[in-house]
Amino acid sequence: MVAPPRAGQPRQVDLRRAISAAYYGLFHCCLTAAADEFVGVTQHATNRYALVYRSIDHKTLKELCVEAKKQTPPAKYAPYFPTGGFGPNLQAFATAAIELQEKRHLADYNPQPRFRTSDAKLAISTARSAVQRFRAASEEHRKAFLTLLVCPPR
Amino acid sequence: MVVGTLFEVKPAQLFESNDGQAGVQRVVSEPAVDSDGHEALRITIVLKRGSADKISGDKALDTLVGIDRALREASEDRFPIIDFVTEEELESVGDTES
Repeated sequence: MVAPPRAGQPRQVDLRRAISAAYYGLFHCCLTAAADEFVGVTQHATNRYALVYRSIDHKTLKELCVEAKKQTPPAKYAPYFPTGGFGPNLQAFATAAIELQEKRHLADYNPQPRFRTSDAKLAISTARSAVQRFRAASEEHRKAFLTLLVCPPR
Repeated sequence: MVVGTLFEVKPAQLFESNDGQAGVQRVVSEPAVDSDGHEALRITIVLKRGSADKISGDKALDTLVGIDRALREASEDRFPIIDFVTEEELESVGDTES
C-alpha cells in the first residue's frame, strides 16, 4: 500500500489503509497473546478462545497503555502492577499502541488530514518494533499486562 | 512552545537514521484535538531528504518514547500526535485525493 504507484504519489486511501493496518497488527498481537495466555495456544478454534479474543476493545487497551507508561500506577491499578512498573519494553509498546491508535482514528474517520508516505512507512515499522518489544518483555510483566487487559480493575 | 524548545536543543540525538546521521531537519508543534475531543499537541517531525527509508522501527519507536518522556518531564500533559514528513513530501503538492 505504501509502494509508489507507476505514476504520481500514493493514493491517500492507500496510505490511510496502511496506517490503519499497522495499528490493527499491534492490536491483534495483544488479542492473540491474551487468548493464548488465558485459554491456550492450542485452542485457537474453540469458542472459549474466541470469547477471550473478542473481549478486548480499543478503549480498554488505550486506558491500560496510558497507565502502563507510568512508573507509579494510580491506586486502582497499584495492587496489580509489577514492582517498579512495566519496564522499558512494555512501556515502549504502550506508547506505540496509544500513538498508533490515534493515527488509526484519524486515518479511518477524519477526512481532513493528508497523510504522507513517510507517515505510513514509519507507522508500519513502529508497529513491528512495538510487537517485538512486547514479545521481548519479561514473562512476569507481560502476564500482568495481559491480566489487566482482560480483567481491568473497577 | 515547550516542545519546540526541547527539539531545538538536540534533535539529532532524538532521531538518528540507521547510518548514524541525523535524520531530523526540524520539529514543529501546534495545538490539536485528539479523537476523544481532548486537547492534544501535533508534533511534525520533518525528516531530511531521503532519510525516511533509513530510519528503523526501533529508532522511530524510541523517538516516540523520548518525546513522550520529554513532555511528561516538562509537565506537558497533552497527548502528542506525531507526524513524520520528509522535505520532499512537504514540497510535493501532487498527491491524489483518494
